This record gives sequence, structure tokens and C-alpha cells, in this order.
Amino acid sequence: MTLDVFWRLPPDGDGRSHRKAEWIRGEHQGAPQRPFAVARTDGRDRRFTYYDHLAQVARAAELSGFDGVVIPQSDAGEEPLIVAGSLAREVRRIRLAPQLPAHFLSAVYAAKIAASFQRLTAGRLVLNFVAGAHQPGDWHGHGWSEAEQIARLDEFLTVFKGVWDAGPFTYEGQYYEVLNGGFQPPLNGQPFPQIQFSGDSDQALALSARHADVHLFAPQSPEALAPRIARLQALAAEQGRSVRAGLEAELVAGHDRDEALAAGAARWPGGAPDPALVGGFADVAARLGAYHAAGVTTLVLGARPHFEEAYRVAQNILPRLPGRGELRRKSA
Amino acid sequence: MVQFHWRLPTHGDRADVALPNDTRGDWTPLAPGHQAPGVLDPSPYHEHLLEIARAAEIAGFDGALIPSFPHTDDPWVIASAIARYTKTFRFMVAFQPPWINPVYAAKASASLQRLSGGRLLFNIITGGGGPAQLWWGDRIAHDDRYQRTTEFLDVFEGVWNGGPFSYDGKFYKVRDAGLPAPLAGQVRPELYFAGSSDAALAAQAKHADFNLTHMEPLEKLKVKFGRVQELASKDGRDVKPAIRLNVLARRTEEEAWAEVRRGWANTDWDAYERRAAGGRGGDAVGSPVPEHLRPRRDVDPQQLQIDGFFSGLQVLGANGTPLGIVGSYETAAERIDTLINLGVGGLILAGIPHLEEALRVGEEVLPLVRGLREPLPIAAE
Repeated sequence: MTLDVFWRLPPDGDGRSHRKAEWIRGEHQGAPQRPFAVARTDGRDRRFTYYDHLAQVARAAELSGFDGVVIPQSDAGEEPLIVAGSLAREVRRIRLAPQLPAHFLSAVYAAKIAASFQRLTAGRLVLNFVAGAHQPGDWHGHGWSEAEQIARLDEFLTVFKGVWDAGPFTYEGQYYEVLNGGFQPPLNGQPFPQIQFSGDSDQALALSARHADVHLFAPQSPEALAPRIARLQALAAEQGRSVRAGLEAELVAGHDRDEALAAGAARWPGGAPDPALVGGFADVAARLGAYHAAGVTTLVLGARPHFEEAYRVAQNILPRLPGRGELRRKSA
Repeated sequence: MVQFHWRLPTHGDRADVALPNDTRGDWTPLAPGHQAPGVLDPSPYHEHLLEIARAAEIAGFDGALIPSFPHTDDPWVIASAIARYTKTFRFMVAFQPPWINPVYAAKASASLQRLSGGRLLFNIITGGGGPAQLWWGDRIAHDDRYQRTTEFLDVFEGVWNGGPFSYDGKFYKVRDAGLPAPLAGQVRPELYFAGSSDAALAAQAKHADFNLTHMEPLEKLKVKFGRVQELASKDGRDVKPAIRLNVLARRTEEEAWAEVRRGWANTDWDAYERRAAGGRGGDAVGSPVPEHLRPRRDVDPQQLQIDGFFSGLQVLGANGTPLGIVGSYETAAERIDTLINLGVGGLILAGIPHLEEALRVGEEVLPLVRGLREPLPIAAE
């Protein structure tokens, strides 16, 4: 199965440094304001926002050969659904994967938004769901455990699928209920969005087995990942389904291995999640190839600064990945 | 007020300033990954140029020069795409006026002004004559060329606001011409104008807004700027000096020079010296750099400086003058201030790769530029 490679957008600011205090892209974190001292000749207010920068990153991912962008949820960041909408016409080929907090949305309304999105983008929507344990300080204050979030998401996706086409769809669950649901033309009949889900628990794998197209794993060694992928596929087979295994990885890569290692040490003073993703381009590509051999067929990659690194990773790592070494465009 | 322009690499680019073979664009053989960006057929490199324009716009530049060479895409075409892709970004079309009839050029320019809300500038180039000029199908005697440019601009300006305008020149004859409504009366494109001979300066005194010159040692620039101002003031017009130069700026001095040394190490010096000896690629001919400061493989590049400007940027793929800025963000801003203090009213900067460096220079260097009009010490070394 060929590799699908997504690039990650920076949801809450970006910069050349790994120290957030030095980021000068984005307005969220009290970044240093750097007014331009010399009067430019053009006095018009340019009104550029962080959205203009995110559009640039998405365009970089599109032009350099990625298959899609993942737009992460973050408390301080722009809302991924809105970002995805703003990007829908900026990029014309790649898929858009906003990370959605299912528990904040009605399942029917989410399906309606998704159907509209498919019409807007000619079917390029990917829905990336997360269910993490409640953290102290979460602003929403639901206090749901990971297990409860997954149980809710399970029902959410059941309803979401149920109403996608004309219906009538009736459902009564613990968290959601619907009577005679289903969309009318022209909203119905759209291609169903790819569903991505993540998490390492057995319960998370079971949810993906029932609903997801891609299950994204957190960084861990290929050896540790292989049995988890086998477990995922066994669970999916029980449902008569198949699910792609994916890996989310932050890269620190460079032409010069030592330089990458130094940058990696600055990024993760306590050691990188998987040290093998820090290194020279060829090393990192080989490591990603090892994940592919272990069964990973979707990658979600990110590196800072996301704009510049999209090009560097696309130029130096993507062509070294299995099945991607051919010219993306033949010269005349 | 100083205009800060970037420059679009219409001729392709390096993806890494120190790696000659990591190329972008289809002017060099494609290798996997090297066409990044390049998957949106059929015009991948145009997409890339648009991205650079937008990056430079967001980073704070006024606009960009769109240079023209025999092997590159046409600046008029690129400009009209940029007009729709950016909000306020200005585009400087490099062109040799006589290749388009002046009335028609005025019409096309007026259309571009309507399309873009008045964002067009020109870099007026007067060709040198000879075989290079004949490649374009243009035979002109060396001594006549500035007269032809002057006549072109006479007609261009004559018809700009409507007619009737008649003209009887050596090269152009026009009768009762003038742009019709609603094309007439747009903002007239500002003119950057290259050339520093007496004939060139005389033509500029009449029409130009900026005298554009490549970076040169400061003493030479002072003399040039003095002549420009003297000539222009005779006609009661204000012609401001403008400089085109390349920048390699990093967080620290050490990082910047490490990039230069990495480029030095990756250079095929035999090929470089063959090119330099052949006077090809704009490296050696008319170089403002004295012989002992020209790049060689066995010299520490940091020694190659005049007035604090590095004299070997062509080794790292820079186009145009070899003289430019290497150093920390603070140093780069200081050098720009030095030029502003000499009277420079327009700057066309470039760095490789042009996409990433547009953001870097705009984000890190330009905010440090003070633009003071008081003497700054020129760095000794």
C-alpha cells in the first residue's frame, strides 16, 4: 500500500526556534512585536493575520508533494474547522484534515458541515478525531475519562454515518438520539470523509476497528509498534473492515547529522520521543521506511518552522520513502 | 520613505544556498524531490514564484523585481498573476521598452494598473546593442539606444493621461494618440532606470524616479549618486538612487559565515574558474570588485570584504553583483542603514532560497533597519 504523507500545520504560532517565546509568527502567545521602523512607501494597512501564514504553509505542502495537511486542535490556536475552510480554495489537490473535538458538536450537525465541506473541496475532507484523558486545567471542564470520550465518539460516528445518506436513520443511544435522520439532495451522496483516530489503548484501537480508515500511533519504535498494528488489524478483521496504520512524528532532520542531533537535543532536553527521527535526511528516511515495513502506511509529519521545513522535508526525505522516489512531474 | 523590494528568481533557484545541485525550477535537470515545488501542472514554477511574492508581501516588502533573461518566463505574465494573488504587493517588470510599441505598452500598463489598483513599477533596461541584442531581434546602434528609450518614455507619458498627443521622433511617430477612457489617467508606474553613463543619466533626468545600480564600493556609489542628483535637479525632478544587492543573514555572525564556508566547500571551483575566465554568468565582466578580493578556493571568504560588504556572493549562486551583505541580522540592518544614509531611496534585496529568505529578511532584518539620516561609521573590515 502506498504511503500517504500528511504535513502538520502549526496551530498556535511558529518560528525558527524551538523556544516558543521567540516565535514571531502568530499572534497568540505574546510574541515579540517587531514594528518596521523605516516608513515603507506603501502606507496601506495590509491586515495580514496568522491565517495568511497558515495558507502559506498549506501551499508549501501542496506544491512540494505532500498528500494532505493535518490541522491540530490546540487551546490557544485557531479553530481547525475554520482553518480548513479558509484553506479549501487556497489548495486544490491536497486533503485537509482538521482535528475535531467530536464531543463539542452534534453528530448530525457535524455531518452536515462535513457534507458541505465535501462539496466545497471535491471530497478532500479528512476528519481527525482525538480522545485524550481529561487534563486538569482543560477549559471545557467536562472531566470525561478517555473511556467515556471514546464511548461518546463511537455513538457520534454511528450517527454521523447513519445520516450521511438519505436515511431515514433512527438511533437511540446513551449519548445521542436521532429520529428519521438523513440528508436530502444535493447534500447527500457526497464521498464519505476519511476518518482518522488516534490513541494507544485497546479501546481506542477497537473504536478505529469499527469506524476509522486510519489509526494514528504516537512515536514509538517500529518493533514496539508492530504488535499494536497487528492488534489493530485483528480487531478490524473481526468487523470485516481494514484500517490503515499511521504514525505521527516530529522530525528534526538536516543535511548534517550532528547539526540535527544538536537541534534535537535543544528541542527535547530529556530525549526525543524516538531518537531515530532526529538525524540526517537519509537516516530519518530510512527510519520512516522501517515503519513502513512494520505496516505503517500513513505518516503525519511536522517540523519547525513548518513553512520552510515543508520544502526541506519534501525535497530531502519524501523522495527516499518507499514508492515515492519517482519524479513528481516529468520534464517535457 | 524607502522602498524595500525583494526579487523573484525567474531563472530558478537553489533550495539551499550552499548546495549548488539542490535546484528548483526546470532550468536544471529534475531529480526526485528537486522539483519541489512542482506538482501542480502545468505551471509549477509559476506557482512557486507566486508563493515567493506572497511570502515577501507578508514579511513586509513593498514589492519585487521580476527580472527578465532570454531563458526565463516573461515578467508581464508573472506580474498579472501576482496582481491577483497578492493584496498590496507591487511588481517591478524588468523590460527593454523598445520591444513593445510605446502606445501599446501604455495600454497594457494601464490595464495592469486597473487590475491591481496601481501596483506596477518598471525596471527600464536599455539594451547594450550587439549580438545579445540581436538575439532578441533588435538591431540598434550603441549610441542611439538611450535616445530610443527617451523617445519611448516621451510617448508613453504623452499618451498616458489621454490625448491627443502627437510626436515626431527619430524612432517613434505618433499622431493624435492617447489612451481612451477608462484606461487613461491611472497612476503612472514608477520607473527604476538602470545605467550610469552620461547618456543614461540624461534620459533618467527626464523620466526616471529611481536610478538603479548594482551594489558597488561605497566611494564609487557616492560619486554615482552625486551625479544622479546633480543631473536630476537641473530638470527640477527628484531621481533617487536605488541599489540592488544580495543578503545572507543569520542569527549570529558565526552562523552566517559558516553558511558561506559550507558553500565554499561545496563549490566546483574548476567549473567556477572556467566560467569566471570566460566572463560568463555576469561574474567577471564589469565586476566592481578589485582582483585581490575576488573569490578563490584557497582564501578564507571572511577576508573578502569591502566597506563591510562581502565580495563573493556569486559563488553561492547569487545573481547580479557579487558584492552584498553577509552577517548577523543586526549587521545586515546596519549595512542597509549605511546605504540609506548615502541617500538610497529604494532597495532591491535578494537571498537564496528566495522563498525562505524573503521571510527571514522581512521578519528578522527589516525591523532592525533604523533608516537614520545621520552618518554611521562604516565598518573597517
